[in-house]
Amino acid sequence: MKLLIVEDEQELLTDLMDLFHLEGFLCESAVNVFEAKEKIFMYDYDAIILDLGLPDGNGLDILIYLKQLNKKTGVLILSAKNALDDKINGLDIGADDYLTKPFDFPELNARIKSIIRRKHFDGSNILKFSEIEINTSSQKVKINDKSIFLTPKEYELLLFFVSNKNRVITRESIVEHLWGDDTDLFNSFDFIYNHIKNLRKKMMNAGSNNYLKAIYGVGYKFEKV
Amino acid sequence: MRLLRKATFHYVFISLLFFLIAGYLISLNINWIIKNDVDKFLINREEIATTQIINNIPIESLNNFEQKIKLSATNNFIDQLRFIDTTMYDIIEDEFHTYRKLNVKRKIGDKYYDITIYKSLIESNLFVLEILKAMSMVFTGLLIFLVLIHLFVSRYLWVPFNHTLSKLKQFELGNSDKIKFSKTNTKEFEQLNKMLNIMISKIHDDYNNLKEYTENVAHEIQTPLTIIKSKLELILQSRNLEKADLKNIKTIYDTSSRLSKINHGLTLLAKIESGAFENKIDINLTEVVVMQLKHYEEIISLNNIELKTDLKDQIYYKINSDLIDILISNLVRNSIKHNIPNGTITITSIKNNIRISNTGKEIRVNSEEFNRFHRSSKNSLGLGLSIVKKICKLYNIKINYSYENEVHNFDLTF
Repeated sequence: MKLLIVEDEQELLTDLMDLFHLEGFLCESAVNVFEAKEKIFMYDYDAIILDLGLPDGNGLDILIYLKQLNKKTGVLILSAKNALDDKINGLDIGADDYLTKPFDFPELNARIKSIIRRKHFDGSNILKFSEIEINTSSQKVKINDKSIFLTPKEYELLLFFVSNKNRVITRESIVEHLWGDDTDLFNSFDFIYNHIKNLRKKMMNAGSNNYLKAIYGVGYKFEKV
Repeated sequence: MRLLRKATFHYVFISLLFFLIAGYLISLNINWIIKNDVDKFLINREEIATTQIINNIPIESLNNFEQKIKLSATNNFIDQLRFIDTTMYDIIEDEFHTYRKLNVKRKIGDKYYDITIYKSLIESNLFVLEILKAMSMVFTGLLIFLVLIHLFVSRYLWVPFNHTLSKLKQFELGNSDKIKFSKTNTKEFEQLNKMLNIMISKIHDDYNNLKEYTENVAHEIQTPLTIIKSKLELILQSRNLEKADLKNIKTIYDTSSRLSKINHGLTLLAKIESGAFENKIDINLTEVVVMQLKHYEEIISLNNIELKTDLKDQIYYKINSDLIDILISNLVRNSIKHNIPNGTITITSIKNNIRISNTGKEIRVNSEEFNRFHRSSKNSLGLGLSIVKKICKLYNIKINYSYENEVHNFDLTF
């Protein structure tokens, strides 16, 4: 899968390239509007991560240009401004998602994968991990071809884990993914253990392996044993 | 009171005072002239009477209503003219009238005569009265005339000022349209308009600078934080980490998240302060509360908190829709954050009052709570209530905090 990262901050750009490379993406980069437009014109990407504040202009111009070229590339806007106007503008012009800096990488990762799934309608809305099969359009989960029932939050949790497989995810990232800005309203994250306990129980009852590994003091890792 | 009315009042008052003093002086003057005249007349009459006595006309025949001559036994005060104001009973008209009398003692031959001459003052009094009447009529007419002229002229003169005022009423911070004042040839108003234009452009500049500054600060801080987080992410994923390292990395990770949240809160606060949220619309506040509660329903139950609502009274208020969401959600979040296990949150709307109460420990009773960065528990950023306070101040919403029977109450009066 091909990913274009448009970001003028060199450090962040290399980190994102490294991180997405580890996720199996083919990454290319652009540091300004001009370069980004050039690359968009020449190549097709599955998704673009777009920073708005670029040295030679607004990232939204790239988005407009992309729409003019009639390309089906998914776009995630990455902005340091938490300005509502930017968000609404970006989504109006045709961005698929919007994330404010600073972000948790697992969150960005999950969102990019979700955008790509949505953009490919040719059956790739099925996400597979060993015997687990997640249908992201009907939001149903099958284990060994047998449907299991998950609550909306458990489904979200499983999808998040599978999107971030082989990756250490902090408890905070998980809670933040499920609850967003409301994360700080919880006096303790104990309920997260319950969610995870229930999810694990349902999956193992259906014959799945236990892929979820607790990492003491930090969070969890979803990986093949 | 309007300036025009105020000025008119002063005008009338001062004119009246002037007219009263002038009237008094004029009447004094007239009285003096008349008295002089009467005295001359009395002296004249006395001279005639004396001549008549010298000519041996018997005094009995000289006596009449206005002239009394008698022989005097004493010779004190001889040839001294004494003028006296007096009243005398008028038999014909059956009333007392004021008179001026001249009393003098004369030695004619070897006899002393006491001569008294009277002069009625009725006519002269009437005369003075008539003059005063005429005068006050002229004065009143003049006063009315002056006031009317003043009203008309002022109204005309103040037209450019009123125009400037009505233009200023349309002034909205953040709206970059330049206000165009109408041209006037009154120097003061021209100056006023000029100064206002300078002030407004300065306010606009300051406002834009502040806005830009807050946005820049937000931007500049978020980017380094993002880099910190992405580096930590890379470290977190590397295979060979000690447990202690993992824990430290996670702490840095969480702290940078918190830093970014503080930054967002401060940016929001600065934005509210700079008046970035202007457009007001009429909003059903009860509906806003219901919407917010829907959003927090699951979190409230996950925190083992019971929610009680009584929101029958609908409250409408003109406010910015984003800010009212922030206001209500901050109070709801506050009531979740500072609650106790198995506690309750009660929200009621009565008339124009919304009360949000929650059970909780007695920790934050003083009004300090409303100040920036007053933190009461480690999960709280301490900014939520400053934002609440700021919004309330901006829209004249009265907010009251009270603590009784282990319950914190926030009352919003619209």
